[in-house]
Amino acid sequence: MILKKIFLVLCAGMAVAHSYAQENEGTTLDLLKAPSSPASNLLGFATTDVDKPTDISSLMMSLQSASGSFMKLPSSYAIDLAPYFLLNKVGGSTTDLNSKKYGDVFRQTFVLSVAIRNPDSTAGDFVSSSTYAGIGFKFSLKRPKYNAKTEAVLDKIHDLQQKMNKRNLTLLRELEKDSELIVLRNKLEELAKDAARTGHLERLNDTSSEFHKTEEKILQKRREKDAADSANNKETETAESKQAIADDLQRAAASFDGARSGLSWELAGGISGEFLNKQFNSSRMHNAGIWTTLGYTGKQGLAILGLVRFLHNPEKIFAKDNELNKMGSISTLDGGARGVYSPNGGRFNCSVEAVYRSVLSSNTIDPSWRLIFNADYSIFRNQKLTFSFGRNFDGVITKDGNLVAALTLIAGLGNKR
Amino acid sequence: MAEQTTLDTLYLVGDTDKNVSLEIIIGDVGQTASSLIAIDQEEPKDHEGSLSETPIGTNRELSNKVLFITTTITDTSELSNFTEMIIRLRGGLVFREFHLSKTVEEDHQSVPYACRIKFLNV
Repeated sequence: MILKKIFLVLCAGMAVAHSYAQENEGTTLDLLKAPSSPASNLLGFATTDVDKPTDISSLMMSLQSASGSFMKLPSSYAIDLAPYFLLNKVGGSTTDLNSKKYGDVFRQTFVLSVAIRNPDSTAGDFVSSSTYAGIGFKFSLKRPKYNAKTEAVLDKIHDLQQKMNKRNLTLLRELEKDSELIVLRNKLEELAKDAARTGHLERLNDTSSEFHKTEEKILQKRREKDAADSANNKETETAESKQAIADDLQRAAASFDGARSGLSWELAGGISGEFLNKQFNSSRMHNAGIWTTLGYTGKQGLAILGLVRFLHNPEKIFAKDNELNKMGSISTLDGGARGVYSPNGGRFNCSVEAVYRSVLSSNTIDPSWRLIFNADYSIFRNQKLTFSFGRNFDGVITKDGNLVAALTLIAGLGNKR
Repeated sequence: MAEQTTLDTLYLVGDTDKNVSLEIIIGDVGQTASSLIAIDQEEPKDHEGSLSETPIGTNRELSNKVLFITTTITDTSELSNFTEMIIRLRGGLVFREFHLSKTVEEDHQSVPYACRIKFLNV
């Protein structure tokens, strides 16, 4: 029953993603950036086990296993949703994202994650005839603050913005004396008073009402005045002009990288299930877990992270080298560490991760370990070269490299690009 | 979603001492914003980022005054060129929410928003 609920949540997640992409065509979905995806951790296709804290978006999607000689569709998908952002319950500006209040930090970092995996025959500890689905959560207990360079860039941007705002406020106040606008605004007030007097306040939100049409006329007049103001500025270009401030702002914003430094602490967890023979009505629990990541990010982009994770596996798990456990339910405790180097603003990232897994509920299975080296380089947005080499818990040495450019799949997920 | 960066409308208030509150939410996630907020010819107040629900005066105090908000949102998000400003007013005759938005054509550009809301006593 619970697995069916998970599946329904997955469907709801897909629906939200679909409608979000349709409504908000200006938002780019970075298909390669799913930094907070506990569901994919549970299903074993996350790039790393020990996640570095990063700023999140309201919707993040990840397509995995898109390499495979480019001859097949991605077999694993993860979607991360930030519900407070999606419902406009919290601000997402850079100032808001640097808030020290814990309520803000929680709402801004709380992520619900859903994932689906269709393993092929090479995925050792997964049954290729089954589909796996997972749901997870993640939030920060302690978020690192922006580093000094980021703060300095933000201060400069805010100063320039206030210069722009001051100029625009002066223009806006001058329009109070504009005779054409006065006539239109008086008409709007009469319509509002009439609506209140007759008890038809709904007219204020009715797009076919006279009230709305008059509002539109006022906005059109305002646009004409703004255009005239811009034209005047082109002729009298000064350091204070609108265009000059806009150019300075664009230069300052280009140097913003959002880098943070300091202590971080995150909590994540989730549950996943297996749909036998890909049938919706034949399912069982795959695993469930809760884990915490504590770390410190330095000013030069070097981060050290530690992980403690408890996993419960009702059926089986690779805890023993290259051999499936057939002993029933098993609980494991993982302890891990990861060193990450990501130069501030750079496109290159590399990391080394080690995780030691001890089995709590059995003394007949030896502990296991995983050691992975990861490197990636962003060529363009949505195009990234990745390289991964190391030993997994099952004892298999893996080496993967891919150039993921699965942009054509966006259409299938609902984005009109 | 139609792009709109200006607002010129009314907010209906009554003859009461109930507080009217203003809330401003800035998006998309990762954009940078500053605002100037002024009532009539009073000295404007600076504000950075979103503004949580804040009382700005009673219905009676605000009667027939004008609220000016000028906001600039700069595209600093790696993931999105979308900028958005949501204004919420509570405490008057009815709750009202206004959505303004624009997508910048080039990375790191800015969008100026200019809003005028008159508190009309009906």
